[in-house]
Amino acid sequence: MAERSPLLDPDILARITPLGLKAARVVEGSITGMHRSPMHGVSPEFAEHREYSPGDDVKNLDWKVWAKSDRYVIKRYEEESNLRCTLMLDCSRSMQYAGKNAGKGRSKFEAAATLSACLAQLLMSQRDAVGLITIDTKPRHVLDPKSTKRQKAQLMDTLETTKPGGETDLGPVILRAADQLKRRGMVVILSDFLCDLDNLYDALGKLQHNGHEVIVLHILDGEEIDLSFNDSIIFKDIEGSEEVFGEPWAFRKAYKAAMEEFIEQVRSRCQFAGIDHVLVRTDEDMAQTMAQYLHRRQRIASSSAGRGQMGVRK
Amino acid sequence: MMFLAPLLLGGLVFASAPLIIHLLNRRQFKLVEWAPMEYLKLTLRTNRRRLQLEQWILLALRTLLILLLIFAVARPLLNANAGASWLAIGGRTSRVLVIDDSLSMGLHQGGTPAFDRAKEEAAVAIESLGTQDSLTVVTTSRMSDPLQRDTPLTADQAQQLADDVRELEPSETANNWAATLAQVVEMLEGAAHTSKEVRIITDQRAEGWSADASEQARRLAEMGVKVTIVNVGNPSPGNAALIELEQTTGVALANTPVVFTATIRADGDPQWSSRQATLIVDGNENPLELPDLAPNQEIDLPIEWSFKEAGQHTIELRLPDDAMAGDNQRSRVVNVAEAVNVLLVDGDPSLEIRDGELFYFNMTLSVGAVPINTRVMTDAEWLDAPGVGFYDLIVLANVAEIPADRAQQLYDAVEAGTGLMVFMGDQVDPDSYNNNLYANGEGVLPGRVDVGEAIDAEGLIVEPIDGSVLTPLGGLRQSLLAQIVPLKTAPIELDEDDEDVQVLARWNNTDLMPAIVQKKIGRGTVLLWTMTADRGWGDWPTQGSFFIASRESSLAIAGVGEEAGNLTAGEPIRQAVSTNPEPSAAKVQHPGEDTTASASVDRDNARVVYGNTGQAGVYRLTWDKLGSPDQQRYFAVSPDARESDLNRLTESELEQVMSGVDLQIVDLSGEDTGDDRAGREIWRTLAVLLLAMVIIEACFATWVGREH
Repeated sequence: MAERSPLLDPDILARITPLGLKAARVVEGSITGMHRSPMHGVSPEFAEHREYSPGDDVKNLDWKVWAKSDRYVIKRYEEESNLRCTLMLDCSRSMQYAGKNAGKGRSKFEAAATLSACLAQLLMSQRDAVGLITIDTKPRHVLDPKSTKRQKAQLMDTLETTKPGGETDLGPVILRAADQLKRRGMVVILSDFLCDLDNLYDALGKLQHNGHEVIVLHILDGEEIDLSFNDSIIFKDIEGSEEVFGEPWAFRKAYKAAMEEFIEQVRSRCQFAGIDHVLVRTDEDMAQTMAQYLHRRQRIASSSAGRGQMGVRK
Repeated sequence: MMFLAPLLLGGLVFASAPLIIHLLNRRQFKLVEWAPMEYLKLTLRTNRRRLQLEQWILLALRTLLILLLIFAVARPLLNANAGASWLAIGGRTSRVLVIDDSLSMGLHQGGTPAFDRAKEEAAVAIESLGTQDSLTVVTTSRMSDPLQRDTPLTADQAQQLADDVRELEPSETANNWAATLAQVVEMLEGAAHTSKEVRIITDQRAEGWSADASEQARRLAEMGVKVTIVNVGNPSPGNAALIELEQTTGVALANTPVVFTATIRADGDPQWSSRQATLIVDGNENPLELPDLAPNQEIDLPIEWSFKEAGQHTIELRLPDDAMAGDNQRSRVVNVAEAVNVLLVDGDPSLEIRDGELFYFNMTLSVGAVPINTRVMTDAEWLDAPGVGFYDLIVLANVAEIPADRAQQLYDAVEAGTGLMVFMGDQVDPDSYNNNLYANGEGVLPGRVDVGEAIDAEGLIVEPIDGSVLTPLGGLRQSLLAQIVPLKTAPIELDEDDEDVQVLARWNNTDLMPAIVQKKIGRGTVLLWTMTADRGWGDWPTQGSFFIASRESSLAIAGVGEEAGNLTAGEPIRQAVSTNPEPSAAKVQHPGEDTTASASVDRDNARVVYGNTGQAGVYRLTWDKLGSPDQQRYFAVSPDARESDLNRLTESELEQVMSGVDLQIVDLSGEDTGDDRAGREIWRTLAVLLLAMVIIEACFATWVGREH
């Protein structure tokens, strides 16, 4: 039995595991039968039952179980995947910032890595395939989505060993990474998005266009949003050499307004593109933030099911 | 702009403290590696001008605060050109400017005399006066004769008045602040404007600030007068003063040695330039060696001089120079007579000379080396005369009644130095004597007298008093005094609290009744004999001891009268003149000057009066007299010795004296810097400004420190 990764935060797992993470749209392999196995003629190996959820094809229902227990369950097979999720983790220098009020002293990168690990754990517990791409100036590590235990160990190891560094221009790098995603699925991008936003929006549009469901976890430290310093500060560009002297109280309100405008801009652009945008503040309870988000997804999914519609974007 | 404490201006370097602190704060920072640099720079770019402006304003406020504080403690003075008038708060004001020109204002200590600073301070105050204000300018020596009286001035007039003030010379008078303030109160009572201010420029010597000044201060307070006292006094150095030059010999006679006593006092070390004084007699200088004078010592220096001719002579003594020359000289007019002039008023005249009231007394005066001219008048003749006459000694013997006006003339004559002897007798009306001569202690008589009554006494007891005019009797055998047996005596009730009254001799009876009583009045002496001058109440006048007692006491108390002309600075010249007809002109020549000033004729009192005697020295009064050559008389005016006391009043003592008054004390005293340090102090304005600045800075700093 492999050693449990320190990145697996039990608080977060406890909150998000019951909620699960389901695709909001039909993706390849999410419905048994639509996923045409490449190993044609070979019987797939039964893996497990899982609860029927709206969108599942009724022909995959295990009628025997229904006959015995009056429960609708779907038969899952080893080679079958409901969801292929790729975690894109920003590991640029800007992600190494850790404010004094950050939860458990985590830097933004550590928070992003923790969230990545917990999401991977959640998805894999759902037998979904999870992949990982770490990016700074280029995709650093690329793990194609799989749901194997080995994959999980590899993914955790990558998350634990990766150190943030180097500059980033997130947009072009995501574009390059998007080209490596052969099959449609879910893409979760974890970054502070302190980059050229126009390029970023182009990259997100490209992912959308390729049929991926994109979730943006916008990770920022509380100090970066509130500028909650009480001393005179020399701000040194974390990815450059520029230095600026300032007394934060003298322009805190203006700065906060600028940051809120930036967050709101990213949120609204994502919303416009049908991308989920979750602001994750490292100084707030990340478990709560993620649980709220997943709960909201669940509610939206339920209401869509009630209307008998899938969350398919035209 | 001048400063009273210019050394404190060195503190202006602290004005750079806010800037230094600001720069040091910039060195006390935290270094933070920052990711959202783009948004930070954007924020700073859009707020840079506001931030810089706020910082500069805060820096300027804090720098100004320190500048104001340093300026305030350095006590700046503004003159008109520097905006003193602009800073002065208030509307039309009646201002009285009092310049202390007393003797002590001449004090200098190797630099500028205090009076020069006072003049400059006064001149600047005049020049900085607003044209809406009315101004009165007076010197303490001539309060009744202001240089300017309650009128507004144009700029040219103010300049002219300031120039006149700069030409003033200090007097040799003493200050009497109670009288000065009383006159200021009178001036302000009739002042043009309701707002009133008094500015007194003085050296703040303690002399002259009596408790009575507080009463006048209370009146000023009731009138709501704002008082500023500007202290321009120099520190008190060692000082020698000639505080008295007295003629010890009662009557100066030609070719007879006249003794003078010079009293010299050293306060601290006088630091004389030499040990040689100058004695100037009738304008001729004579060197005079001085004895050693230890610090804080007082010595009496006897000076003897024989005058060759009768008439008026002047004698002046000048000590070597020191820090205050004003009190180093005194002068006297010496009226040298051919003989002592004595008037004998016989209240009970007789055709038979031996039966005359003053037969024995007259005999005692007619022998001896000292020439004595006696004139005998009956009481009726004397009472018919217009005045008491110019005599060295007046003797009243058994005069029945003395009218009130004659009693007043007697008092004035005694006060001026004339000796007076009063013998009792059966004709004396005690009521007349008590009402007019005693006058409740205000007259010449030393006590209340009663009608003569029989006395059972054996002998005369002479009181052992230093300097008693009866001292020569002490040299006699007791048996001679025991032979003196009075038959009657006039009881006298003395006021025991009167320090000027002394019993010189008593009758040897059970009650030890007074026999001879002395009363000092001004420069003169009165002797009351409670017996008769003839044998009416006893036969003492026939005995040798009476000869000695009457002659020696006569010569001792015989003095010079009002015409002697020895005055203290500020004391008016008064010269009796004939008013039939009165003089058409009377002129006074000041010491060391060729020009003359007019004196006024007081018809009611038949005399010429001249009040401007602030300068010490010899004045010459001339007046015309019908049918005679012009009359002339010298008057020696000496400095007021009280001014030689250089003790200073502290600010707290002055505040106590001026209790209740809106008082500001400006201290311009101290070492002379050679600067023109005169003008209006503005520390109050600066203090208000400073307080306002503190509040503004606090509010602005709070506003800047809020979240932007």
